Amino acid sequence: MTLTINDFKKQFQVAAKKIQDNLNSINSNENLQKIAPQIVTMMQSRVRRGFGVDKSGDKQKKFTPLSKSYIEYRAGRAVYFKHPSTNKTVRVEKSKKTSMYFKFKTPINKNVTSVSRSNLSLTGQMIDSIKYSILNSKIKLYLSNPRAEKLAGFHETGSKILPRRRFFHLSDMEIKKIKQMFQLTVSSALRELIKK
Amino acid sequence: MVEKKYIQHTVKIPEEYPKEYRLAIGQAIVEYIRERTQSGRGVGGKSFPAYSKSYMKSLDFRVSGKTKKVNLTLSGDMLAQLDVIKQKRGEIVVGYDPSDEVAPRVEGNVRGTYGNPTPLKGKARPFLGLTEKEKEKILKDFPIDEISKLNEEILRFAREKQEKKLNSLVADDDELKTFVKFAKELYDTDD
Repeated sequence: MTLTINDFKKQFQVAAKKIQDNLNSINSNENLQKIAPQIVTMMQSRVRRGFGVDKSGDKQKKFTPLSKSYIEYRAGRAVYFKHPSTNKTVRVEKSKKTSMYFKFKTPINKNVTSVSRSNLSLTGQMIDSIKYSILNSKIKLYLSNPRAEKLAGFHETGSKILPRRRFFHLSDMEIKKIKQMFQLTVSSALRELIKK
Repeated sequence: MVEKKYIQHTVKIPEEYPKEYRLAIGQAIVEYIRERTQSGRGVGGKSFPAYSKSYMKSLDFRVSGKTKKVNLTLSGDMLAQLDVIKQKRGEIVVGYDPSDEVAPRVEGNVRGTYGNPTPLKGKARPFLGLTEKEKEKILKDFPIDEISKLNEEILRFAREKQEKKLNSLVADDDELKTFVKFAKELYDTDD
């Protein structure tokens, strides 16, 4: 079939409008509702595998390892405390005798971390509290409880005694995966258009 | 350096397809392989060999929310990096660049080496490729008798607009102008 220039223009305009409408709808609330939970899961999974991201778009990198003393505490092998009179840190190793005075119970939730894994998880509550909301065609990620928010803030900023472990950002690969999720909805609509 | 033959797959297509079609078909192939792999099936719909018990017991396995279903997806990076490498008249190459950081992982799965010099028997999980039947199914969405200048222009327009739109969707840590905003309160800590 040969098209006149006018027919060509008309048909192209109709198709172009459909494509544009389709692209405009990719950040519809309905679409974002499908994508947002996957973004949360992606971030939670990355942190628990032990990777942080300094700022959105950066490559992920391993978190700074846990200190030896913190590993001992997590394993329930020793406790550390500041001596009230000398102000020096005292290490108390687990033994029959010390167990009468100190609690050496391991506090870790083994479903989300291990004794030595540096993944910002002890009980798992902070990372579990990452949630999303959708407003004005945008997804907002936030931490759903004030304690988790404060803890996350400490990790993001770091301090003299706490290495900085930034995590509340999306890595280059995560952004790529999100774009692919959006692209899927566009691709199938385009194929339908071409078939017609 | 990983050999290309393990990490790239050439798909022969009819020579009539012009460039815009080849790009769109390449994209469709990539999406098909990703979807098929994530649903736990390899080339031709065959299921993959099961994961080892030790891997299933590992912390990484648990925290990634994986199940017994073998879908080659832990972080998802390997499948996300799958792309159209090149296209020319009559063929499309999909796969990975040898310099890509996931290339050794791809080779490990395709050959069943997983860090060993030789493949482990029965452990190969070939996911990169298409059978003739699968290829025909994909090409059905791009009917050869419908190839026209109009469709070519539509595909070009869609590709350019799509690229622009997707590139505008950038995660931003501070500004409310993009698709993901992070809670700003996070940085207002007293530490």
